Formats: sequence, structure tokens, C-alpha cells
Amino acid sequence: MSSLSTIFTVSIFRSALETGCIYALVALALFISFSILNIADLTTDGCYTLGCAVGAMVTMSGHPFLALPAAMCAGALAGFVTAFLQTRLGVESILAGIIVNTGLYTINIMVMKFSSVVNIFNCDTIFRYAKKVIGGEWYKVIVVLIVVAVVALLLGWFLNTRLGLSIRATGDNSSMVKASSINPAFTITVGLCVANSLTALAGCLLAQYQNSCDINIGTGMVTIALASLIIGETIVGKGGILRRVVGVIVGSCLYRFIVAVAIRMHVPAECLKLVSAIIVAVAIATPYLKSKAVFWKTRLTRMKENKKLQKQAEQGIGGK
Amino acid sequence: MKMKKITALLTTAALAMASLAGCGAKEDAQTGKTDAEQTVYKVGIVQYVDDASLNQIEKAIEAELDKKGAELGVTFDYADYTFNGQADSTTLNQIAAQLVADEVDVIIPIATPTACIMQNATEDNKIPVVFSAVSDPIGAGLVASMDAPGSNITGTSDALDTTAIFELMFAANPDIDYVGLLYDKGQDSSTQAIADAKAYLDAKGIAYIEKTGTNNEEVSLAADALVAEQVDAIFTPSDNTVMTAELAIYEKFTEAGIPHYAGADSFALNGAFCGYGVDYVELGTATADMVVDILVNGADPATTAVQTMHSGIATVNTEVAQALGMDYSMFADMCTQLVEINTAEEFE
Repeated sequence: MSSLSTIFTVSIFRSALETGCIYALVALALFISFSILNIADLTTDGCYTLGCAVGAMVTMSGHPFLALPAAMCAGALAGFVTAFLQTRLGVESILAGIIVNTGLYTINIMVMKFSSVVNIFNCDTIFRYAKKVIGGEWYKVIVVLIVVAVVALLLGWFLNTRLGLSIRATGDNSSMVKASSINPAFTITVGLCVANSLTALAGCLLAQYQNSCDINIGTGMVTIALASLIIGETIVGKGGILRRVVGVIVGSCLYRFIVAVAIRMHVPAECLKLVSAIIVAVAIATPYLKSKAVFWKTRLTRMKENKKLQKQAEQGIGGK
Repeated sequence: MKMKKITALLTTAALAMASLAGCGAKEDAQTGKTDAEQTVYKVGIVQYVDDASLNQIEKAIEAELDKKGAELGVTFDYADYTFNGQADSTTLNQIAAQLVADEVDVIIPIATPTACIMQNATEDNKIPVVFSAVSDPIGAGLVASMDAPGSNITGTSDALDTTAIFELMFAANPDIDYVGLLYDKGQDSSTQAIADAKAYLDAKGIAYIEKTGTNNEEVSLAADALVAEQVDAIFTPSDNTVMTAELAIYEKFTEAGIPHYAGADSFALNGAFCGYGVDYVELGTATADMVVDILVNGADPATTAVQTMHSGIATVNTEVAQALGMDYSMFADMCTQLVEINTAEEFE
């Protein structure tokens, strides 16, 4: 049985932190669309790949820093199309996501010039630049943490502005929002645009992190992001927006640690998606099961009390 | 209250993983780092996808490592560090991270996409990488030049002699005037070979049409399109994507009477008319020899030249040849060796 130190070396901790922060952006996107807006947005897979493809191609033409806003704009466009389908064309939210996701496969291949793989190893990326400026072994973690921190702070501020509050209200009670003369179609559009731009940003960071982009990179992203989101919410619970945002980021890093440990314990890579699914199922079901448990416990106690009272009543009558 | 939640979540995750660790656990190598007499070298072998040629290479590498290990009195531990990426880049990146964390002494990626990912993973830590079956190492950006790679990466190349294949094609049927090119644009290994093919066909003034695909389904559609175009012959370089789909598409070509020429013998094994290229067993053996040189003799990958195999072995599928009614006896004079095989999934 290997000791804990061999399972968890510093380099594993470091790479788990790097990927955890990148995926935290996708988890934040799902935080907006799933937790706040209550929409099942399935464009995540395609949008992530879109961000990766756009990021890779812009980096290849020599503009690594421009790649980040370029990817975010592309993601916002994808989110806009999904929102348009949902709000103006009356398509069910899940279906809208699936439609855009399918279309994005071809668009991503087109962005990558009809190739399924793009290799940007010989180009300047923001990580290469950071290596020159910061150096050392932790430069990748620092870059990613800076990006995530800025995004988290901006998001926390935005969701407390008037527009942000309208978006939060739309997720809770869309009719009430309409009654307050705010257009829920508008708030849903803004929410989905922001969410998908974050997903695309994560894809762009990953393209520069692993110096390549692949058409299948987004497959299964939704489950991973959902797992991170649920873990984060379970740990942090309810609270202010900023606290929940931090919770999501922590959840994502924690999920990557679990994955890293699983790989060290020789669980084959193919089994990890099953592990994610189990974690998500358990985490989502836990509060519901807990409330059910409370209900059953109360019921059992009441039944026992009733039996006791009945017995006492019978004895009382018999005694007399 | 919160601690309970965290503990519950972590316990569930740990239990889920422990239950799955059973299904994937490999036996812990009890050899230990250094036995009294033998040094153990950790060798990571990363396979790109299951296909007959790449599997041949892997077996040849392992056989040669065992043989050299017995000769020199050292142990090459590759059993714990052999992985298959199943053509999925996320999996390959995870494999790369794991090999780096395991601190292996050398990594042997098989095929170009794997080599590129290993190049990225060893950018900072400079673990030696000896690639195998990369058709165009310079074009893929892996080495600075074939004689002096310049970094921690070197290996063996199965670069294709495109002119030789086309000479076989026209020797079998001099009346060809429309050629189909079937490949995957995303495979670096195909780019140079297809460029060479187009140059050859342009010089001869022969019309051609390209159809590409990035996965089995798209390759199948591309094959249907080529059959509909009624081409006289089809050429595929040593392309991993088309190779994976070959068993699914070869019958379309045979029924349409179109011979399929490809850049590796595994294509012929899986139903193409003729596969022309290097001997992959020899390629694997040469790769293993380079690994031994680097690990035991301390050679520096930066100055170890990339080896290219130039054997011209033509492999013809006799069942398909019969179905097409094609005479291939003239091939025997045009190449170093002519091999005849029947359709099968893997080489024995």
C-alpha cells in the first residue's frame, strides 16, 4: 500500500490546481445557467470546443493575449443563438442546447480549417510569456488563478447589479419578473451569453495550456462541470453570491484532486466518467434523501406515540 | 454540520474510487527500484489507437527490449507504463501527466498525434522521448532536423515513398486517368504524402479528387463519395484514421472494382488491395534499440539522428485481388519484397 506522499506529490497537486481552475470557469458558467437561471444548457460541450478552437487559431496567428477575448466573444455568440432559439422561436431549453451543440461540431471543424486536430506547440502562448516573466515551477498556477480570480470578482459584482438581480429573479420566478416589467427574454439572453463566454474562455485557456486543440475535447464537459458545481454547493451551502462563486471554484479544484488520486490508484481513465456520474448522483440526491429521512423519522415517532396512547386508553378503560 | 457534509462527500468519492480501483488495478511491480544486481529502467509506451500496424510496432518494441534487457543484464519495466489513448486527446494528456508524475526514464509514443502530446508534456522536465512511426517529424514540429533533433525528442520515421506506390499503381493499370485521394486532414502523417501525390499526378497530367474524414463515420461517407465519382484507383498514405475505418470500407471498393493502394501493410491486411511501405516490425526493433542506446549508453537525444526505414515491401491481399481480377505479378520486380496475405483483423 503506497504511502500518501507517493499518491499525492507536489506536481500532482500543482497540475490538479491548474486544471481545476480552468474547469472552474466552466463550472461557473453552469452556475449561472443551471443554479441561477434554472436552465438545462447543453451547449457547454460544443461551446468549450469552440473556445478551444478559436483560441488555438488566434494563438497560431501570433496573438495569444487577443485569443482570450476572441474566444469569449465566440462563446457569447453561441450563447446568444441558444437563447434566441429558446426565447424567440419557442424551442424547449434542452432542445435548443442540443441543436446548437450539434451545429457547433461543424463550426468548430471549420474554425480549425477542416482538420480535427490543431497543434500550436511552436507558438507563443500566455503561459510561455508568463514563464519568461514569472519563471519558477508555479507560473501556470499563478496565471490561471489570476484569470479565475478576476472572473470571480467581476461575476460577484455583476450579479449584485440591477441587471444581475433581474437575472437571478428570472431563475426563481419568471412570471414575477415579467410583472415587474423586466423582459425575461432579455435577462435569459444576457445570462446565457455570459455563461457561454466563460465556457469558451476555459476552452481557450486549455488550448494554450496543452498546446493543442482536438475536436472531441468538449465531450463530457457538462458532467464534469456539474460534478464540480454540485460538490462546491454542497460544501459551501447557501450564502452570498461571492461566497457561492468561491465555493464553485473550490468544488472544481476538489473534483480534480479526486480525479488525480483516482489516476494514481490506477483506475483506468475510461472509468473516471462513471465516477463523476456517481458523485453527481449522490451529491444531488443527498439533500432530498435527507429530507425524506426526516419525514420518515417523524412519521415513525408519531406512529409509536399513537400506539402508546392507544394502549394507555385501552388499559384505562379496562382498568375502570 | 458542514464537516459532516464534506466528510460524507469525500467518503462517497473514496468508496466509489476504491470499488473501481479493483477493476483497473495493475499488479504492483514487486521488482523494486534497484535489485541487488539489476538496474530497472521505467519505460513508458503510449499507443495511439488499436490498429494492426501500430500493434505490430508495440509488440516489436517490447520483444526487442526484453531481448536487449537479457543481453545487457538490465530490466526494462514497460508493463506498468504501457497505455493506449484510444485516439482521445484528453486521455492522452492524462496519460502524459501520469507518466511524468511516475518519473519514467523514457517515453515511447507511437504515431504522430501521441508524439506531439508527449512533446508538450516533456517541455519543462525534458524526459527523453523516442517516437515511433512518425511520417514527417519535421513537418509535425517534433525535431529541428533529421540529423540533429536539437531537443529531448528523437525516434524513427516511416516516411512514405509516394512515387514508388504510384509506379505500382500505373504498372498494374496504365489506363488510370482519375485517382481518388482518401485521408484525414487532421493527421500530420498524411500532409506531406498527399502533397507529394498531388505533385506526381499534376506532373503526369492526371485528374484527381480528394475526400477527407475525421472519424469512422466521415471516412465511410468519403468512401461512398469516391465510389460515386467512379475513380479508377484510390490512394491513402499511412493515415491512422483511415486505417481504423478500413475494415468498414474495403468492401465498398471491392464491389465497385476500385483498387485501394495505401502506405502501410496493415491496410492490405484489413482489405485494401495493396499496402506498400516499411516493415513495422523492423521499425519497432530499431526504436527499441535507440531507447537502449539512450538509457544504457547515455546517448543524447538532441544529437541522435532520426532513423528512417526505406524498405519497400509491397503487401497484396489475395482475396481482394481475385475479386478485382487484378494481376499483380509485375510488383515482384518493382519492390524489395512481395508479400501475399488474406483479410484478417490483426497480424498473428
